[in-house]
Amino acid sequence: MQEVIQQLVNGISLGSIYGLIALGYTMVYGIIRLINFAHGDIYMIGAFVGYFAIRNFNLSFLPALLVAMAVCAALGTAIERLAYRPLRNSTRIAALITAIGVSFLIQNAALLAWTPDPRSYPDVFPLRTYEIGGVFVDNRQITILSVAVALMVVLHYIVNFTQIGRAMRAVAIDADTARLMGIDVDRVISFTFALGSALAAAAGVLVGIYYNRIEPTMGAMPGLKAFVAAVLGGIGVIPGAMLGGLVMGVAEVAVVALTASTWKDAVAFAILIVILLVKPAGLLGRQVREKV
Amino acid sequence: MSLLEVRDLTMQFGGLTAVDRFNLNLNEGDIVGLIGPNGAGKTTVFNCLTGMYAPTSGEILLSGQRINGLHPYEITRLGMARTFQNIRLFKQLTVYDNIRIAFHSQSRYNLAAAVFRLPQYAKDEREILEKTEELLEIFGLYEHRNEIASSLPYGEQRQLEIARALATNPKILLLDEPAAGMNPQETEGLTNLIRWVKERFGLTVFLIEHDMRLVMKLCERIVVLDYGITIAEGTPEEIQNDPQVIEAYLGEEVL
Repeated sequence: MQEVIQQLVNGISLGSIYGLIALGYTMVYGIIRLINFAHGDIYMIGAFVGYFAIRNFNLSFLPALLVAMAVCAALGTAIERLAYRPLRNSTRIAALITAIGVSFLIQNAALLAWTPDPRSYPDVFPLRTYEIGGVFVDNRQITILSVAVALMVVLHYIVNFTQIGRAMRAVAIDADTARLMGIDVDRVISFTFALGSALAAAAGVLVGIYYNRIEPTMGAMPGLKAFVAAVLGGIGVIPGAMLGGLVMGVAEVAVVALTASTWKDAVAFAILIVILLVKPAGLLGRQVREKV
Repeated sequence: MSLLEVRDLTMQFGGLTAVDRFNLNLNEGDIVGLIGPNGAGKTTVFNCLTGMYAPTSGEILLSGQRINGLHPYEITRLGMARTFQNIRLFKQLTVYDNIRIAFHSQSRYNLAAAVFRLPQYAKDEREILEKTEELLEIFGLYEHRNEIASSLPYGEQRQLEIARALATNPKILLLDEPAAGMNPQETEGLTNLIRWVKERFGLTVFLIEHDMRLVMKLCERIVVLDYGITIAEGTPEEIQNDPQVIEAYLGEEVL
């Protein structure tokens, strides 16, 4: 029993990180129907920005987190402006291929700039472990979970209770009509990219602290897994991304505990295959017909 | 100076001329109708006016300012609002949110103000809420405010669309077949409502409508379009007796 709870704690910490990344995928998809494959690399950049902010500028955890989020928000909007906006009216496959290209570009630029060697994250706070009824929880897990929950609450609030959030939902449903209601659709799309990228950056910093190791190729696998999480929850559905992330995290940890750690990446894609076969709209998604 | 002036507006799609040298003068407080058989180019005129299409040639002046080539959201902010022939509400959102979205360009608070709940946010949101509730009261939608827009009956969806257009604070309201699908009583109610909101909000109204009872009762002037060409313009009486109009509508017992 203790073992189960222990694995659940580990899984939820990991899952909340996947959830943060998945939110960016799902928001961007919701608004312009594009899978932004460069999203995992924005997460990597976020981890590195946090790393340099802590190591070179001696920032503490929270300021470093905010700096990473701000830098990646700017990066996300720049990518949208330069790579995706010119393709707004072209085929979806063209935009998708471009997204993959942007991903390669960022990853290889990072390899050039920062070398492929892994770096260990600076110690922002010393590890402290608490034992609660035989279950071990450390302060890093608590930080990850509380930051992730706080960000999700802020996001929920922005999307549902502010004018820009209403504009986002309006654009997702019908961009043309939104324009006629006085909404600058391009600005709303930029804002969505900024928001999603900031969340990915936060995930990057949290992962750096949790696993204590970052490298330029670190974005690929979590990027794909978060994508699976978004699909699992129902792509375009914001609570779905959070749920999908948590399920993925717990499933991954469970598989590692029950079998061998070599299976941990396979489980993500097994979930993807099953969900596409059984419930393609995702757990919280509704079956919608393609608009013509 | 007229509020809206359209000079020789032409819209071509490839080889097809959907609208050919369309002219219009709207003065403040006018109610003008645009009629014509199906495919005459009426909605195309609306799409050009609101910036959804960039006209092939011609000029559109709103309060003397040239607006062709502007983005739809910019034109909306200058005071032009519209409804659609086939209802285009934000279907999955509540009645409340549909209207609040249209206040977008009038809210001044920024994201920081929203996240930290600064006074500007609270003030703006309160104003938006008050105006939204006022509109909902006027259109008799208040008790439906928390329902999902697509669950409303058809007639009320049309009313919600008009309410939403009003929320953008327009000077000119373009109505694309507001009475489509309504029964005679509903049409009667709508006619009175349009007249009332026009006075209440000081609007200028330009509307497309097939229901001649509404057009003849409401409009001071009517423009008739056929195959993109303006074939007649005048008061309802003049239009009813115009031989060219009768020919265009031959077989239809509307006049």
